[in-house]
Amino acid sequence: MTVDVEIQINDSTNPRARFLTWAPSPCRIRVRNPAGITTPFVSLKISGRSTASGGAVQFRAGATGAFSDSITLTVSASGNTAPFFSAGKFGRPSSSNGDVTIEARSGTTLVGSVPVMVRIRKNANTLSAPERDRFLEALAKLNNQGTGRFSDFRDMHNASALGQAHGAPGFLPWHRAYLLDLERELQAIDPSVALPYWRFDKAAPNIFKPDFMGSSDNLGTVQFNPGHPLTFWKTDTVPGIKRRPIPAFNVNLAPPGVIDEAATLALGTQYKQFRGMEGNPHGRAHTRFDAISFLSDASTAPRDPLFFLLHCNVDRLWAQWQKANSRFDQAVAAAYDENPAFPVGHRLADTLWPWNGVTSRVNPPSAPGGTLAPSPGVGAPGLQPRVRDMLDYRGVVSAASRMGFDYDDVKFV
Amino acid sequence: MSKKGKSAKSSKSARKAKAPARRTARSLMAVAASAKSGVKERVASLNEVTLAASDQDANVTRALDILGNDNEPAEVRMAALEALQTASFSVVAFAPVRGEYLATLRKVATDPNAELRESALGVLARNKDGFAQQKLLEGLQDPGKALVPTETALSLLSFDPHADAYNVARRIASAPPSDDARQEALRLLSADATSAPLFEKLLLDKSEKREVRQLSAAALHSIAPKKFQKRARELVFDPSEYPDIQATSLAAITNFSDPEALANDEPLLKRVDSLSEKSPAKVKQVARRFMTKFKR
Ligand SMILES: [Cu+2]
Repeated sequence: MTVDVEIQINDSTNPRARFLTWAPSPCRIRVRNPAGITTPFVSLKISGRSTASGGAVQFRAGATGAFSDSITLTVSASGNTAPFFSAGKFGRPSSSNGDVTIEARSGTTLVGSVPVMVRIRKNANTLSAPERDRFLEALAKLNNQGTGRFSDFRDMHNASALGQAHGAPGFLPWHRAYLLDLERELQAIDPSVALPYWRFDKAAPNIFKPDFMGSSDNLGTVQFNPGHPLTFWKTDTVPGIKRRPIPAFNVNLAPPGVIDEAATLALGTQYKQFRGMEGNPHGRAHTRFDAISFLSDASTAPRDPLFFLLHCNVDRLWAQWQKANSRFDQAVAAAYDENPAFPVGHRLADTLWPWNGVTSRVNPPSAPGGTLAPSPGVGAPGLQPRVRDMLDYRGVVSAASRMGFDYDDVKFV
Repeated sequence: MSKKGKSAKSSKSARKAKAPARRTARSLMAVAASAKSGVKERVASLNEVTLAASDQDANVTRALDILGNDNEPAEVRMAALEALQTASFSVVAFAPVRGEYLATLRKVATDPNAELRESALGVLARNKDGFAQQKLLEGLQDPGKALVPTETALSLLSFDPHADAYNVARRIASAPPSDDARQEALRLLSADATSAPLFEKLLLDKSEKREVRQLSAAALHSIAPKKFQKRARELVFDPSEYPDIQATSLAAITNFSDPEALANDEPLLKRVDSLSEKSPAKVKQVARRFMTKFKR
């Protein structure tokens, strides 16, 4: 027998918790078997080993300070844990589960290792084929036969419920919770999946191909390659997806009339100004599809899976804006548009429907889907998030607020 | 909301370097509503404007007036419709004018301009508007009253399918005026449980168009999944079947069949194993996915 150490990612031994983002994850290391150790403490070097196209990780010993490629910790031989922090290296996200390994060495001897994934939301247009296919398979499974969990996501966004989420400041927090709930359900099916986003201010031809979100025929029926997981996509009672770009929108180019990222971020440094993005680019992106398309009306939009890629980009823009203006703290007035005159569900202290189970706010009264899906790696935003819980998604203000998602182009520091 | 500033239309390079000066909704709508402005300029203003219905100013009313006025150029009215439809996503803020918006759309639904009619009926149909559904049905029953082409009417009725629409669709599917009309009639019927025998027949008919057979597979899977699984299995064994249909059938088995029953289906496992070695590329790909999933 030789020395053996246990490495806990997100302070957990659960393999399903072994996912990192750009934000620091709390980790622990402990000596599981002290065989051969004669001193009360042992010096362990922690580092990452990446595969060729795999993710890359970095470390620091404490809750603050700079990250480096490796750290050396003095760990008790008696089995007590020693804390450290680990994060993905910006620009080096994983492309599959376990494509980077965290290793611990005593001298040159490997004494422990765990495979991890730097799981990051990426641009759908440049997703690798395996990443794309894993996402599509998980989505198809979640929507199996138009029943099950996916229909809850439909009902959350249907006509009677839309007021909970739109046309007031809660728009961005509500949709952040909505996407996170969906993403966690997909991850329960395949933990390597992160939601991809559609950059609607850029050309994204690959998204509109029959091997991804499908191409539209002249009747606006979306066509997929034979055997594509979304071939049997069904919402409500009718199978298939209706989506037809307006004549001015050539899907090989950026859609016209949608303001770009720079203009979106320049809407203003106050949330009150920035939330104007609900109209343009958000609403304009929806209406780049014509009158027969699911996407161009709020009540039918979630019937098209492209909806989630569109909204993932809306959330990414908010994240970019939050980063650029330091707007993660709900106590900062400019980080939100707080006003008692806004309807219930749009003020910081309000819980968000439907996760709160409240049925009196909507008509017909219902709260589909239960509480928000939990994550094995992080505790936030909780089962019944409030508006204010959705701002600090990467734990900038309070480490405990970290939600376990990040975007490939939004730096942590 | 857009910043106050003069209506500077900055050059492309300046736009990149710095945020563009944004014109107010009020100034944009003033241009859009003025007959003195050129059509192009009016369309551009409507494309740029962000309408906030909660504001007590007249911007939304102006857009509604343009949309509803058949003396205005059609391009300008289409642009007004798009701006209003974009604003409608802000459900809470839009609520006070929603009624007026829908009323204007009902008026536009019978406009002489085809594109406007179709767009108005599209918004109404997606909101399950009874008036629009009635108009669409009437047009299918009496082509003299049709406001949009047959296939469009069927497509719009499929947002809220019900018995009356199924009856019309069944009639059109059996004597279609065009391939497109047939395709949309079948698509609508794919929500109708009583149409299972029709889709079973179409799925098995090798002389049918590929699109129709694919649609029939999805329809049968939706309304009679057990029957479809049985047929899909047969199609996988048929040596003369088209690769497209075989790939679709095999994907359905891979994704939706009962894994326990499958594990005991020796002939199928053998068949798919051989397809994963030797078959057209699209079949091979699905066969390999099947084998990774079910190989013991
Ligand atoms: Cu949206």
